[in-house]
Amino acid sequence: MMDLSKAKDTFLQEARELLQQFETLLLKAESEILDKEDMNALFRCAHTIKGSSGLFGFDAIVAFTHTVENVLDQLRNQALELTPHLVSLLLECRDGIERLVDDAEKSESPATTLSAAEQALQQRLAGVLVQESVPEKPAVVLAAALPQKENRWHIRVRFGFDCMRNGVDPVACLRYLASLGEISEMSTRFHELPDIGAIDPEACYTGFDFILTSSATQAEIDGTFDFAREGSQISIELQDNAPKIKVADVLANAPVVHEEPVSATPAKYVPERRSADNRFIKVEAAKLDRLINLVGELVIAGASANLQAGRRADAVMQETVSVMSDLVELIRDGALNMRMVPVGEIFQRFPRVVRDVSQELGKEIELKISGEETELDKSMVEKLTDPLMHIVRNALDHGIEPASVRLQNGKPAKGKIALTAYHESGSVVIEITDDGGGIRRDKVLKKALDRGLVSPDQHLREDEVYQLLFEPGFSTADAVTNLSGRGVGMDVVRKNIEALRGEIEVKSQEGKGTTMLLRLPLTLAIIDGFLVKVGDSHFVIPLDMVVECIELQAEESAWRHYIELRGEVLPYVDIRDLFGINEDLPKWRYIVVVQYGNKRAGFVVDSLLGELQVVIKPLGKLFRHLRGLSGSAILGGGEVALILDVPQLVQFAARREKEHVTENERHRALNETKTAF
Amino acid sequence: MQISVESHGDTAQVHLQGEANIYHVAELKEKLHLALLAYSVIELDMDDVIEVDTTVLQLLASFFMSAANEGKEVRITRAGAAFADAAGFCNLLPAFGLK
Repeated sequence: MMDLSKAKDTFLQEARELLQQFETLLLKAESEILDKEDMNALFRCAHTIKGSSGLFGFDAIVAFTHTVENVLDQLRNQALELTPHLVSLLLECRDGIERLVDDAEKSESPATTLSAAEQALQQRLAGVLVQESVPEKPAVVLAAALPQKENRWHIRVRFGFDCMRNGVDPVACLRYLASLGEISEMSTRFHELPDIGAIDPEACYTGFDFILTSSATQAEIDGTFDFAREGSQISIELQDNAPKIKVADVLANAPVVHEEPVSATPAKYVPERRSADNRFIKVEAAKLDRLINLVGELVIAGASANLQAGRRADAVMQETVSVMSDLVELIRDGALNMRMVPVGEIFQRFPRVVRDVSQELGKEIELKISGEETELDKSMVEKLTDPLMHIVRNALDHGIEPASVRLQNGKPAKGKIALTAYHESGSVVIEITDDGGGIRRDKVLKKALDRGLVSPDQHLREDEVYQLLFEPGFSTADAVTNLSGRGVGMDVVRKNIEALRGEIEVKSQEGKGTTMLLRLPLTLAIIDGFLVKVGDSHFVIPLDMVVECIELQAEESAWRHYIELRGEVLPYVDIRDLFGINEDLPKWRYIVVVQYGNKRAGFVVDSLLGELQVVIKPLGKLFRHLRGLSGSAILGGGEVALILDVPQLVQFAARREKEHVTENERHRALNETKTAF
Repeated sequence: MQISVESHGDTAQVHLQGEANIYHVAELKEKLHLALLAYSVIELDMDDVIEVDTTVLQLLASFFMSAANEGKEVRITRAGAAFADAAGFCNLLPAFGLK
């Protein structure tokens, strides 16, 4: 027996993908005229959802989608026009279907939820009908009770060469069709029928040309051929020549649509099979995780083999191991790459958000998306959606000014929001830029002062001021106009991003706009590391962030916290101090210069052991709160190495350097005052 | 399906019995092809056929066409309900010399 729960998962996933496609097409319809292929695709989305829902007995979805499908059928046949109004309605219907699909996922047995879901559906439909008086139909039950108009459909079908071998009997197919109405003027055609010696008796050479008089919709008729679709040519044409019904008429008189199908100018429909299906294989995420876990172990075992080979002076052995290491590296990259998905998967939700929110706010806003092909880890995609949504909504709501204000300030009335993604030195960067009013620094500072987040004598750099926005409690619900709300929930956004080992940077120019920069690691599982030793402890620094290494005299490291490196001040952190390591100092030590974003800092270590791949093991619950460490790794020899949290340490170094400098300044100022007296 | 072929001089009488469908169509093709090669008149008795699918209709159409091309004669002596119904549905009765 088929495992239904698995099949259900597939259904849910497919339904969501189709809904996404549905939405994308509708949004496209807002800016350009959909061609026939798009219309067909739109119809197919609803049709497929309906079909597979039926298989699982999700009757509420079937009933609701059926009504949507009827409208789409008429759109496809050009009986209806796709007006902006109708697009909006269809988008709402899409959300309705999504809710039903969510419902189907949550509830154990569809039979019990049927009534509740259907009730919600009826209410929703009724609501839509009253408010919008739209070409929506009440549930099918109602429609069935209405007298239905019969149409003459001219159907021509040539079955695919292999259809009979695949278990489809064309005559049986037509007999089913006959149950929908009456077949007349039947003509059976054999195409290039070979003689009895040459014929392939199981291949199909048969086609039919006939008239079906039926009250069925084109969708229903077309559905008859679902199993025979492959390789077949099917044409279904309405024979009537009744006047075309515009959507306006339908809007004025909604019940008209109940008389299915609305007569149309002859419309041909030749469905094509989608070929994209074969390009992807759906794999259970857990399987992939298991594989990646194993690859992780393989990396550790490989490192161990490498170490052993290094200890023996066996050149052949070393070469073999080195070749293997290269392959392990490739396998690791390949395995990780399988988890990578284009960031477009998140981005594609935003056209709808921007559209809806801007309509709600009465602003005209254009969304520009670029770099959607940039890839990042699948698990990250899921966790990024909410923070991104928050930031974009904020930008729409509070960043972009109303059109009147924009015009006053000499900007185009139409606001712009850009979502951009790109790779940069081992991390993924996502930029959210708006051309709105920008963040007013003085207001943020004032607010922070009021809240006691900063003290009046604190001197904050520009980026530090912006970071205040992410402080918990920096809620600006009652706050200054230009920035109101920018703080709402932003601390949650930062927390989410930091949980992904990422960070947020804010750039803003008053009157010109704001850019939020999310910087995220490429993957959460395996990194190329740089192994260093301090005392007897091993530490790993993510290699992407290592810039260079310089020597440092041991005594020097004891009393200074910065050096001058090629004309620039480089603050450094002594790992010994940081983790209280007290073993004997070597004579020479090293500074590993790291860069994160645009900040640089140095870590002082005892010795450099070189590059290696490590599998990140999260720290146990007990150590979760530790600052400065992002995880641990097991080395080839079995020792544990701690992975340094570069972003945190860089910040720490920068802060300490500044404190140090201001302290010096204060000393000097104090001395100067003294000498003055 | 059982297919039996009896010969009476120049005439072959082919008798079909049971389900005439895709599972037996290859065998039917062989027998009809041989019959056409060996005889100048072929008579088909379909009275005991209980099911007919597209493959069989199609094969018979090819058979009738081939016979005509070679100047041979094919007749359906008894159509039987199942075959008459299928051929009738497809409007093929005239093509098989039936009405």
